[in-house]
Amino acid sequence: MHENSGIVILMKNRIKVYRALHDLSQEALAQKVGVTRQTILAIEKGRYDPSLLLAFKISRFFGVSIEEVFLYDDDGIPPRLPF
Amino acid sequence: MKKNIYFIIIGIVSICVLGSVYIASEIQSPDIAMISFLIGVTLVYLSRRRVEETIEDELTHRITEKAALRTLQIALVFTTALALGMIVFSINPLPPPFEHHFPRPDRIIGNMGFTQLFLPVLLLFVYTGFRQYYARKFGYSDTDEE
Repeated sequence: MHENSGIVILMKNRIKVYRALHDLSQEALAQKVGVTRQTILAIEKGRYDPSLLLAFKISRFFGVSIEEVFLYDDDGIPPRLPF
Repeated sequence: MKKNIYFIIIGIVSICVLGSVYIASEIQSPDIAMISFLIGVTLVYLSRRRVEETIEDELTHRITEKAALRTLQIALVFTTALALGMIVFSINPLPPPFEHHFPRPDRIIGNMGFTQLFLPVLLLFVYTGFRQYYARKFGYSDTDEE
């Protein structure tokens, strides 16, 4: 979550869901995309927004588009999952 | 050993070496300064060998970057305040009864040297503190697997 010009911007992601679908641990996903497990954990918890490169790597790994994994939402309402 | 612990060890060793060098300059004994310096270097070298190699990625870079920027900001404020203070004292000597507390001109350069030696040590502690703070903020130190 960032505060930018008084507007609260929420960056959410569904990494945990896709990880569960692919039966992957944080450590395994981290190895696949070349980061540490702590980085995956920080992204999942919404404490860290990944770089565009890492976001693409994660979404490509799951075989989906980047928008399906990462959701930009500035109205503060959590986005609905498609399934 | 974690990297932050290593930085703290460097800071403590540096303070001890600086203290020894100060004492050595007071009693005019260069041997003490030399021996303490060699012991300090050895301790830092031995500590360095025990540091766990961590995999660096964009989050660790981000934490390092944020901590370094904050440390630089503090360094700028601190050095500016120090310089201004020294200029003010050089223009206006301390009022009575402290007028004799200001160091003699021949000691000012030495004191400046020690201050400049102390500053990097202080900044090392500040940097380590910020590293810890941002690691916690970004959840890097969390361990739970869900």
